[in-house]
Amino acid sequence: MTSSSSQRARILCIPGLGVVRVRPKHIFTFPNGLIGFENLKEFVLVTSTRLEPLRWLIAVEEPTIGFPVLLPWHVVPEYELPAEYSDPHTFVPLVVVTTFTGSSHIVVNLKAPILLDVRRRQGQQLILPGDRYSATHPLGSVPQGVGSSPC
Amino acid sequence: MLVLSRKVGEEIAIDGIVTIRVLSVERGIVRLGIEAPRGIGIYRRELYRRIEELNRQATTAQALPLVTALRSVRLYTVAPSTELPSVPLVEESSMAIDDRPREH
Repeated sequence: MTSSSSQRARILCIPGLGVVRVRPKHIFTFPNGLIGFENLKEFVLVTSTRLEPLRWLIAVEEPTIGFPVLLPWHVVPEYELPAEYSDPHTFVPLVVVTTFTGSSHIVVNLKAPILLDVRRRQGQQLILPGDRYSATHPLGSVPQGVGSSPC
Repeated sequence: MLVLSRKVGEEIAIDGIVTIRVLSVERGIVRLGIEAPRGIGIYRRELYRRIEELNRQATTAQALPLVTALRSVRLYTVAPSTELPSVPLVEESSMAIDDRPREH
């Protein structure tokens, strides 16, 4: 009786972004969560033409928690993953964009990409070995004093 | 915290799947060799904490200022190699109403 309800769209209201209708096919499972958010296991990637090329990785269980992400090649065209993740039809890395309170700087975390396995709809956050990529690769500055309203 | 004493060359087994061996101890620096199955993340704690901190900070980003700022940043064009399963925003609340004065 309730089996069909799991296939129905779930409405998520995301503070500061808007509303999405999430279907099971959209959901990426993160068996280990994200680093620092190990308890969150399901995420969706939210897009909008007005956000592009940014996307927002939103925790389905806790939609107030979301991460702005970019494909790393927008920042570093020659970005490479370890050989075991190099199949571009299976693995897609996303890099987290971070802004700091009281500072205008935007950085991207090239060192710890979020790796999506689009075939298995799974995800994990890697920490790449070596010092080729920075966790705080500078991108630019945010204008100060611009706010946004909650959902 | 469990505390164990080990000599150089001795090992610790964790759950039978992870082995840590003390390789050397010199002038306050311990070198460890770690064997673990694939898929187990092994990191220096301070690096893990730094990524945690950056992730936590990333969740505070606000869409409009970030999107606006990125327009003035040089980003490369990327041709997608595979389609990413994504959910489109059906209502863009903050983006649409952001210019209005706040009501209290």
